[in-house]
Amino acid sequence: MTPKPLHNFVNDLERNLTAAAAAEEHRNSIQRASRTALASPMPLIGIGALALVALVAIVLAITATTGTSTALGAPPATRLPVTPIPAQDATLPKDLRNAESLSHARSLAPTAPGAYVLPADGQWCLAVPDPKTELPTREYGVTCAPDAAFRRDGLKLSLVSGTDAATIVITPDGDTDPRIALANGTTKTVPATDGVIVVRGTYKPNDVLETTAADGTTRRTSLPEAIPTEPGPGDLRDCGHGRIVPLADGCDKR
Amino acid sequence: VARLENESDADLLGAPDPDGTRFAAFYRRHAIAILAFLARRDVDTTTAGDLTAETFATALLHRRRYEPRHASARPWLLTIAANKLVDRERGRARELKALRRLSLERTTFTDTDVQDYESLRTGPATDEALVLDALEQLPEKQRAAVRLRVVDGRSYADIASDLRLSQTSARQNVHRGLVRLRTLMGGTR
Repeated sequence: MTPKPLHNFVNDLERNLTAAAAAEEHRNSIQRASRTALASPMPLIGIGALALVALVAIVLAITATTGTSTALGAPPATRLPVTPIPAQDATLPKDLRNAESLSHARSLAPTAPGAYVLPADGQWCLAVPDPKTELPTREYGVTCAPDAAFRRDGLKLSLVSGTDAATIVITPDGDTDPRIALANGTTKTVPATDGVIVVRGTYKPNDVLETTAADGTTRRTSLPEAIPTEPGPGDLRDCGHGRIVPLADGCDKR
Repeated sequence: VARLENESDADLLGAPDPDGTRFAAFYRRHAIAILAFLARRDVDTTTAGDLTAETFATALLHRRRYEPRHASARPWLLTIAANKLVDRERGRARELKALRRLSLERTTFTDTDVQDYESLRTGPATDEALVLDALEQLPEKQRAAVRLRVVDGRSYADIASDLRLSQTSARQNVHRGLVRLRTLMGGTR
């Protein structure tokens, strides 16, 4: 019999992966069980497995901080032409992979290429592809809100990786004059097409996206802050066999 | 074990796997191909060990997202490995992230393994590795279009949207990319 190439390495890694696969299956079964136990509707029904370090989907309904706005109807983005998503798009969360949702999706291209707004069981969802996924297949960050909240507040989703970010906002019907209001008092107009706004980059804590709601109040939406991606002084490296060392030292240092 | 060896990649990745043996069978099926792919990219042994482990750890974390459009998951794995390699070369901080998420110990080569690995550098390349090597030589738009169409199985409408092209241009990029791939790989047309 021909000796198996890299016999030691291949077998060692196989043992590690087998244990990790079993542990991962166990973890997933616990998560599935806890999800089943949640009876109340969740505003967030899924986030694609955004595969980057520090890539997070920040999922928040837009909050009106001044007064109470009165939406005129469904957000304009829902009136975009229907663009059915291929049923085999297995990278969408399972909750969205039903014929009803897929066949009623609206593409937000060209304002937000690859992004969709789509209905899902009494909710509306915003699905945005992760531009930096490590997988060959597309992955989505997804946020959802019940129909009434969606009409009142719209939806927002931010994808952040270090200082790189994209925020996609679907405004309620009647919102106008979108602008970025910086904490230093300056404002900058941003374009909106069919009630869809894309804001690129990360911002300081009190910088916000503002729109003027149909009732004249100001609607403010937070913008993402940068996430540090460089290792900090306290970060450790696992060198295997129970040996943990400061990251700066590396595993070769004894 | 023999029963698992006959299962498709989609079944090995998609079916319940309480003891991890299905993923182990999947790993055994493809591990050497991934190592050979890395070896032919002049990757040193320590890096090859890390990237191979990281590639399979990423596949494990995303196993339910594998789309069985092809008989084999090898193009999917090779693309993950290629992405990891690019990240590593660019010094991105996310390297070995999947290993950390799974709390997986790093696996290292023994002296015997190092000799075997060196032989992979000079041995015959797998067809998939040759295709990926050729793919890297295509212009950026053609490479992206071919990957989206052939590896990901995306529609031309999707490709046009992703790459900000017209559908006609998306088709042209895929077609020209495939023609050039054949040429690069020594085909007749």
